[in-house]
Amino acid sequence: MLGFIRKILRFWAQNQDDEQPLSTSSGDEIRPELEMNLAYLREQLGRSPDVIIRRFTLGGPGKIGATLVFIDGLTDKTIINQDILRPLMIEKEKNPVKSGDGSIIEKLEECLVTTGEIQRTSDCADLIGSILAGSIALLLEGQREALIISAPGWETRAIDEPDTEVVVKGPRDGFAETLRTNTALLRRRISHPGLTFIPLQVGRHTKTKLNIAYIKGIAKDELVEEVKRRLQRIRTDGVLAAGMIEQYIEDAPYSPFPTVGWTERPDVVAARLLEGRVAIFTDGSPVVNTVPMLFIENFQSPDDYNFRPYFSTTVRWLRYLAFTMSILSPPLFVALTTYHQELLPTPLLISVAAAVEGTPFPTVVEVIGMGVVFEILREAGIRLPRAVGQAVSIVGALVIGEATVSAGLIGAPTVIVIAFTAIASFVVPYQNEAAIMLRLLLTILSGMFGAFGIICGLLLVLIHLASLRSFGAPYLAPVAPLFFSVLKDVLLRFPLWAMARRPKAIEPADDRRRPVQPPEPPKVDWKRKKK
Amino acid sequence: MRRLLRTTLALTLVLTVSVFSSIGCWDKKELDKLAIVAGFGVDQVQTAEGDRLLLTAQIIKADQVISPEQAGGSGKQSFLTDQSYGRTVFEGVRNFTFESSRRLFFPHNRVLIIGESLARSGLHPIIDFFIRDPEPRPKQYVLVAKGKAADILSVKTGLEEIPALAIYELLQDYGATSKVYPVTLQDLTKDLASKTKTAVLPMIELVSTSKKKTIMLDGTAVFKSDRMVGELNINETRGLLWVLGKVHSGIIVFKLPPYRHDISMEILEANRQIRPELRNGKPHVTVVIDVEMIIGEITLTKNLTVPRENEKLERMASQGIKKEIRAALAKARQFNTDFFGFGEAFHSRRPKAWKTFGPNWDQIFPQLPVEIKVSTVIRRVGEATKFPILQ
Repeated sequence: MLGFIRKILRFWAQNQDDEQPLSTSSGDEIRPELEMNLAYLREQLGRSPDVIIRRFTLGGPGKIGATLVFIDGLTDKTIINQDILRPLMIEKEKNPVKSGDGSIIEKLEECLVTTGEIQRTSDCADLIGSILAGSIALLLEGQREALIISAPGWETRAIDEPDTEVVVKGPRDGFAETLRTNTALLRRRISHPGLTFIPLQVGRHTKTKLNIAYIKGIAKDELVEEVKRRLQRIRTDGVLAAGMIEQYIEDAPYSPFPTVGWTERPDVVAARLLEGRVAIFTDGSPVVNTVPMLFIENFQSPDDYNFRPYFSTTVRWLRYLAFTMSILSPPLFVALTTYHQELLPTPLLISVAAAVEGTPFPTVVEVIGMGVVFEILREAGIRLPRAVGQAVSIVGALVIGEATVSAGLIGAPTVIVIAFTAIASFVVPYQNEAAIMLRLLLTILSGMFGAFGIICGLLLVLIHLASLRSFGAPYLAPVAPLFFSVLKDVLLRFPLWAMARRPKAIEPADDRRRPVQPPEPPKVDWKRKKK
Repeated sequence: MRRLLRTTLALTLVLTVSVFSSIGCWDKKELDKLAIVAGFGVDQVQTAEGDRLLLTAQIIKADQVISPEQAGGSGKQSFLTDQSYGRTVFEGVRNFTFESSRRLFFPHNRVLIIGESLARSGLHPIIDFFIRDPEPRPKQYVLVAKGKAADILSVKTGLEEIPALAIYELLQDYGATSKVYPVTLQDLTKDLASKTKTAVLPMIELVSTSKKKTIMLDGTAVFKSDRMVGELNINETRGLLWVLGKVHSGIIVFKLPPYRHDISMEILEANRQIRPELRNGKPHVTVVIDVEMIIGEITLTKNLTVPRENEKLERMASQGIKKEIRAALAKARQFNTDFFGFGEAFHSRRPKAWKTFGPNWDQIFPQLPVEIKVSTVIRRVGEATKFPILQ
């Protein structure tokens, strides 16, 4: 079935025009004539008001003409004034650079410009790229090179606790929109020299910066290469968020299940890197993707590891249960009330029958209808401005919940089932996109064939899940295929000191994490101490 | 390629439409189209066309059970008794559709009540439907009505909303007295299939006083093959339960001579063994019963809770139990019905000997010597060790 859809989509894709290669005039060299360079830049950058071209003359003998080109709003004005213009115009007189010993550009870089990150270039395309990315270009009369001074100074959001992943007993910081801030957050967690970032750029127009992060010696080299290869294959106008990257690199683009993981939490990324995964940072997005992704990741929360094992195990089983119920309770309800009434205990059957008495629609229609209504409410709740949110919940809870039941349009059990499903589906938010579809599919199947339909549907889903791979890792691992040593983090959450191995499915370069080492408090003989 | 696309779109459309329209499937039964049967009765009646079966279904009115006020006055009954006629049970069940707008739904049927006259003429033609059809459950209880089943199913009982469920509860709680023997359809089928063991069914009767009618369990119907041949009263029924090992609890009341006062003992636990033996080549059965008891009530002003007196009490209790068993045994011999399952005991434990006398079991059973050994132990004497007023 999926193969069929794939064929159709591929046929669509082929009909699209093949993408043209980038048309910026790379290869143009910087010329010695300053005016010509400026004219070229103006032509390329257009006459946008945010492109600032500041002409000035270098202090000291020679009166060499110079120009700064930068984008207003992306650069730090204080740095421009204090560390670039000031030394070049005023202090150069006190500390004149003699011509003849090397190029002026080299001298400026070495002695005068007092900022941290600086580089030289002779390539115009490189120059324009850097200006647009927020650097300052310094061009000099009579020089074939220009200086690119990095002084980013744009408005950023503060580091915040992510709304999507709240924890009780864990760090409160979350990624922001700036790539460097994000990598810094990770670096602060992992101070090992093995932590490596590989820079990449994606998007013909957006030129979005990406960083692949991994820990040398833990992540498999082939995995890093594969991630790099897939990212480099991306041909698109623009990538605006990490969620878009996912769709270009995932293994099973036609599957309802995501095969690329994501998180907004630095501690989660750190933990996943330590397990041998690879992370992809996308500039402009607080979401960081991690690969490979296993199905079990949906049920793991950072709090699982911050709390002690008993509680964590219980909570994790609650999550398994909630996920199952969020998918199965509507179809089971339909199957039980329209096909298998004999399976309900008599008192329960009487209650349900009494509630259903006089309602106009078949149960399947009720369940699907209420399910759709709930999804609409949920979507409205997300998109609406916060202030109107309360109105939605009132309309949803009172009007739809209460009124439909008391008007006899919908049976009360249906509302209860849908409400329970809704709550349960929020317990495992990562799989929500897949859960919605599965729920609908199984409900339709159960409406047609009862429990038989549910079983068939579940088998189909299971077969599909078992066939999925995420960057080479079997999706259902470590359950199928069974990796016994790693089950310590699946059925029960073993104590941290007992989890000696990294997940085998990811095939880390080194899967031995640490020796099993329980805490050993000193033994005190209380009897002897009393004496 | 464009044609491929067009066919795909058309196919998707057709599939989607058919999926949504075929949701109403042949096997589907919406809850509000079902008549949930809680109790079912079968009687034999004479009609103009000859002998017919009168079927009575007690149907649950779910909305009345849950909220009687809302559905129009508390005076309304929460069940409906529907009737239909047929030459066979199945025909009669289908004939319900003449007057009932909803399909009868049998899986929740708890009791099957058979009229006495019908029971006396044979069970086979009636219960076959309930065994063969997949809907009725083998765990439903089967009873024989003294009189007509239809009358019993139309009476409103005390606390329970649905009388059939009330009867079910009565049978479930038989252990309080152990004087009723509940029989499921499955048990009945097994007994009917047995060559020597005969079936028994609990009996239920309608008791009408001047003010109201109630239903009451009373005694046990004894069958020979599939025909009812006689009855056991409640004490004989407990005699039967002792031998079958089904006694859970219950009270034994007796007098301890020389006093004229009654003493009640509660049965705590009872174990029984049936020992089929051959004495001089002739079959002989020993029934061994071990009972643990509690002193429940002593209505005389003498302290009996001393070891010597306890022994006396134990002996009296044992005698009481023996009396019950003997009464049941007398009935069994009278009707020549082996409802104790002695024949099966021989069959399974003395298979070789069984081959010689088994075929003649009908002649042997009435003369079968049965030895009854009862030993009673008093475990607790209750919280009053002395008669309170004496202190």
